[in-house]
Amino acid sequence: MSHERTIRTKGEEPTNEVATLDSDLQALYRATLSLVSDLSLDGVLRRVIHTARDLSNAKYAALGIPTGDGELSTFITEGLSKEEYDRISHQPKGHGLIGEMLRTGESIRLTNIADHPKSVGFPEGHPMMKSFLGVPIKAYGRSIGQIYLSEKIGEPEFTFEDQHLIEMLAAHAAAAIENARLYQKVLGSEHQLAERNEELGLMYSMATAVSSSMDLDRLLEVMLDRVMNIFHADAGEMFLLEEAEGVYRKAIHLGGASDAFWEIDRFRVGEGIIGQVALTGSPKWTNDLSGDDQFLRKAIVESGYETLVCAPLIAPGKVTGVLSLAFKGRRPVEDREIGLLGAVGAGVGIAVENARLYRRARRVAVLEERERIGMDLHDGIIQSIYAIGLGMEYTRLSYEDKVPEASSRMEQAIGGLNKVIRDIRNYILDLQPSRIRTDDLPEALGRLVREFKANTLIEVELKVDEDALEYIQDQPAEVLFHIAQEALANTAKHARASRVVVSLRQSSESELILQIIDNGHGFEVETQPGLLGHGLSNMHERARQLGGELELVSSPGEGTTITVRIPQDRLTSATTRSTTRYE
Amino acid sequence: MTGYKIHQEGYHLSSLGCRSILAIEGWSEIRLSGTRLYIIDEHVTVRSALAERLEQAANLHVVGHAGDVEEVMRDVGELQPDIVLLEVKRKDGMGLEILRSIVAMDCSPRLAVLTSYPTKWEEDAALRAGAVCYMMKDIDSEELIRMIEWCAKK
Repeated sequence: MSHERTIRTKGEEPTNEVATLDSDLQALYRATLSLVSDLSLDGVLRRVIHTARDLSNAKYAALGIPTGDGELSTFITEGLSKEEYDRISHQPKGHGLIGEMLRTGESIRLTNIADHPKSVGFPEGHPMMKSFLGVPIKAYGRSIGQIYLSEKIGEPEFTFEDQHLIEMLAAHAAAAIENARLYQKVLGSEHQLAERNEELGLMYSMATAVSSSMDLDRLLEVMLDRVMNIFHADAGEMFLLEEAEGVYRKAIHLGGASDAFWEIDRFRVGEGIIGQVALTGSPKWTNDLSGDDQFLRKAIVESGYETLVCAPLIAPGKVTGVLSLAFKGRRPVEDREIGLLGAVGAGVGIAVENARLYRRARRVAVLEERERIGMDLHDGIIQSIYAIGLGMEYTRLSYEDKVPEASSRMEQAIGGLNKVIRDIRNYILDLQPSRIRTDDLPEALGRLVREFKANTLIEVELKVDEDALEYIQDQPAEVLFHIAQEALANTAKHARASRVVVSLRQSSESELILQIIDNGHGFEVETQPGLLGHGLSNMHERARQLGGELELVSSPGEGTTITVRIPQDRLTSATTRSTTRYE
Repeated sequence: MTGYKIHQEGYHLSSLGCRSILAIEGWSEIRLSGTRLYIIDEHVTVRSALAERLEQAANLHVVGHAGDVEEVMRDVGELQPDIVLLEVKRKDGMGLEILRSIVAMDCSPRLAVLTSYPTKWEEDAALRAGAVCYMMKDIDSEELIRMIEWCAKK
């Protein structure tokens, strides 16, 4: 039976009391509507406490949220002036009356707080309060909060009707609070889900990109663009390892910062933050770019960049590159983000390595096929001509004295045959695609010296002047490589050296110079020409092919220096050299 | 057939000392007079022409030539040349195997490779297997003769 009905039975006409209650119920109804319209938890709590104070005509109102273990986590008040609020030494801890309500889950209504046996008094500086109404907010039988009202204005105490009204409010409040909590939870997980979705999308697009036949430049661009989008980075760069020299060279830049973060575009291992990431193989980040790196362009700091995150691109056994993202302003970097970048780095690293291996394998396959055809077609022809030539040589020597005229004619013919043999040999060599292109020359030389070092334990240093590479086309690059290879093979066999220096540079006389210097025991060039055997004549021949010359300087105890000089005008060509780095 | 097998099947006289054979058969005189050379090339016209031409050199004596693997191994074992001139490019792909088998013989002769066209890997492989030089077939035999004599002394 409702209170409204009970009250109405008191008289025929609605009394003032009934009118008041009606308006109270209407206020409660309006308040309830407003409660569900607010979806933020804090907003709902404030509306609840405001409505409760309003409905009960209390001077002070408060709302506490229990932690679940007998304490309060939140305590919101209304009605206290700022001075009063500031004077209170601490928020209620949930002992005394509050604790009693938490324990029993029942409302408490008192004329004087101090009279209750469980009352422990007020914290220091708390304003004096006598009348009290406390109502728990319960959802699914569990107390999720408490409404406290104190000092009913104009009355010595809160009425039973007040209690009833606030209890009804509390029931609605419980629903609204749970609602707001659920909504926040949903919002939170939606956000998390969206993040996870983005991350999964990134990993998925990376996986498909890595396994596609996309060329490396395009792949780097796609991946960097995706990563930058997800991290909302203002600019991004990737550096790739140049194996020959062990440096990390900038391969791509996207976004702001006018094309570069750094003064240099090649970092040695350990140099700057890029080199550090390459050295350690783990991600690094900074929120204080300006104070962090000596290679940073001043313009970058001036345009507001403060945060930089770098992650290694990892292929099996090596750091094949470094990815970096730059942000304007100080941006917090979460562990989760570092983890994600690490995963991206591993994927892109493998893609980079795949592209390299693919390029290499394709060349080798073509090469082997052409080598086989060359041999099948031409080996037999060379043999036949050689046999005929030898016969003619024999005849010429046998009849030299008797028929001198025929002898000289035969000598010419032999010369002709020799030329045919050489032409066929060159043709076979031309069938073979250039194994080494200009861009690869430092890498190929790097491999060569590493192999040499591993096989001979001889200390070897490689110096390549980048400017010199400008003038070399792919064909000469291969010839230069073979000369270096031949020279090192000779050093390994004969020199008994402990140190070798291989250098490729430009001279002031517009010559390209390839030099191989060893500190071995040397030899007498005049009296022991055979020592280097065919190797030396091969090297001479190769240098001549490039229109250059080869000089060998050696004497016993002085080591050996092989110098190849090639005029630059023989190396350049009218056609523009391709600048594409990856096929 | 692997090189090891060739060796095992015994196309050479491993139980007797090399010099004793020469003494028994009275070849020491020939040996003293110059470098004893054996030619291996599967092109018969090439090896015959080579033999004829190299015989013209005062200090070279061509003791035999062949192309067939079994014949080659038997001859080299019996004839005990100072140096073998070998074309490693063969249709049967046995060039390097022959080289290794000869190097593995007791009192193995010096080995010089003569090839129709050079490849880097083949040169490396031949030199690693024990050849003392790697040469191209050019119709200027004077240079070839000098190299053979130099290799024989090495």
